[in-house]
Amino acid sequence: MESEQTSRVARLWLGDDGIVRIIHVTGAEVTLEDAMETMAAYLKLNKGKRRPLFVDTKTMKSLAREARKYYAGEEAAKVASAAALIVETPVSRVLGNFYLGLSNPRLPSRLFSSEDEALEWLKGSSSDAGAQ
Amino acid sequence: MTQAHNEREDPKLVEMLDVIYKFASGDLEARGTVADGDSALDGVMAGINILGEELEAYVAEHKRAEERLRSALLYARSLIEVSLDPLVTISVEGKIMDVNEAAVQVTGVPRDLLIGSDFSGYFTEPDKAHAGYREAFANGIIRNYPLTIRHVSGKLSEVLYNASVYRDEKGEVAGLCAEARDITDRKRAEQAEELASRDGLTGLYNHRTFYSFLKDEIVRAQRYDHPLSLLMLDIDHFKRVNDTHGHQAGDAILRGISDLLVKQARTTDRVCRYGGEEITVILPETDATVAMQIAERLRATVERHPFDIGGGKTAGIAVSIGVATNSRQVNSPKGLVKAADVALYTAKQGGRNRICPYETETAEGTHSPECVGDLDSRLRAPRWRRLLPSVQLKLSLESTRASVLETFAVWIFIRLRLHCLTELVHQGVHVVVGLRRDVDRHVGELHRQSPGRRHRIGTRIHLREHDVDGLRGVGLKGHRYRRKRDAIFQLFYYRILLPGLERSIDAFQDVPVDLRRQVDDLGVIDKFGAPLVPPNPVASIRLTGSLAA
Repeated sequence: MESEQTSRVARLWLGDDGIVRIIHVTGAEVTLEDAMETMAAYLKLNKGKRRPLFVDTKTMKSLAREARKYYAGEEAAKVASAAALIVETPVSRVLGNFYLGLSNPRLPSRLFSSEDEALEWLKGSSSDAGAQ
Repeated sequence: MTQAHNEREDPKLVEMLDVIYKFASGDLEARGTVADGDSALDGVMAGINILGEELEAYVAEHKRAEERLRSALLYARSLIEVSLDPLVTISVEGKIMDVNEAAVQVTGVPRDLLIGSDFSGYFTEPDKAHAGYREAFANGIIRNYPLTIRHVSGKLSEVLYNASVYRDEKGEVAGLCAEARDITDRKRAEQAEELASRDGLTGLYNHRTFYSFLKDEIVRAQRYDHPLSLLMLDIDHFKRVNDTHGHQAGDAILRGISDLLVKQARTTDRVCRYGGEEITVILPETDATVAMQIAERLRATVERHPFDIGGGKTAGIAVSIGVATNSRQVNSPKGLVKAADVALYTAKQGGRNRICPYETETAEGTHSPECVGDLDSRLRAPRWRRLLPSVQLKLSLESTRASVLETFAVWIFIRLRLHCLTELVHQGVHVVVGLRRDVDRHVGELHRQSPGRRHRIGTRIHLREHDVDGLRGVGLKGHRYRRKRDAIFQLFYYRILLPGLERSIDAFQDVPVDLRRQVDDLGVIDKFGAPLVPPNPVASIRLTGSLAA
């Protein structure tokens, strides 16, 4: 299915709303290689179009420093318009906050505990981007 | 476990503490276990792990930065030390911050003492050093600022300072980086060269340097088609000064007039001692009109100036000046000198204490009709006939008749490519003609006839620039000789032996003779003793006169 891709640590699919979902597998310990593989899967999925990202990190166990910097870097900002990070557990919140606080991501990013709010925000940021 | 923990505490807390203790002991790779669960302690552990990662990355980066800094410092030090010139960095307060080994060597002060000391204390002129320092700060840079460094032993080093400010990260001036180039040896060499280029008595540029300057200026004038003039100045009656007041007074006048001319000359003019009491002034970018104005100004200045001749006395002198300007015909150093000399001769002939431009177009290889003609007419005067040699040949110079000596002189002019007798004298040539064989014979006869008496036995002729019987300027001076040793043929610098003449005087009697053959027979030798063979030019001169005893 072209609208769905997988990597070693996540499953990705493109919703009808034009938002790409990235759902991490339970206990995912994301390294730089994992991050790059996931990004490659995303690129296959979006077919060159810049789309908003819905990233579920609830089940993530760790995010390596290099992977964090990679997600926060130029490459991700070039292919994605915004990122909503779903955090729920204390671990995912810590990872998410460090991601925002230390890595200073280039693309607009926010933490959400509610998936609906996250999607709303992404749609809003997507329409903002479209309006621009 | 590196620490004892309270057994009652949660194992996750214990693990966290353990990781933190490891961090504290320097083990930044320590990490704790994060369970899949949702506990807050897992979140804290995840945070500690992230902080550990960040700390590890920070420390690694810090170490790399330290290493880069150390390398940069070593690199900078090697750059500073590789220079053989003294290098120094100076703070905005004027304190030395760093020096290289060359700076230590040139001052003789250990590095530790140099650093932190006031930079200006190592120069002979601290105020001047401070002035340069301020200028460098004001302009951001200073180039070739001359200073003298004093070594602790007292030895002085002439240096040229180049300095520029350096700035801190904020872009504000942090200090000065200065490099000194030791020019002591170069300056000595320049001084030696300067000394070699100067005349010892007057301090003017000497004859050799004059020609070097003139050559350069002529090339420049030709290249840009610009005018160039030359003044040739001669002190009038200089011999009289020497005879009247002594040679020291003559030297004093030469020094005085030299100083006066240098002061009067423009910055680009070159005042040189050509030789004797002759001084030349090269006037670049100067046409004939301006050159005449300058010459007249110099002449008038000299005329008005009282020259100190020592002993509280002063003497007034006058100068004659020949003025020549480059042209299509006069476009070589020697040509310009010849032209100026001809003009000078004309000025002398005109009564002295005057200036005279070179006006006669003179073709290469021929003499100036004006000069020789004038001399010829003078030589025809009765009083000169009286002085001319007792043995005389009359020659035909095509349309001009002249004495045999003049003919020889003409030949010499041609050979030396001169224009007039003045130049012959300027070349240091004195022609002395006598007939040794006859003298030998006559001395014997005379002594036999009248033992103990002094007899007039010959005539010696000089080409000299002296007054003789009112004939001023260059002329032939003749006087009788009485002693055998005077009766030799000699020519100073260029010695002309006259074996042909000596051998065959009788044969010339009323017989036309091709002088070239005679000239070939002259056996002229140059000052190095090598034979001078006439190249051509006297074929048209025919000997038609007769010996007149």
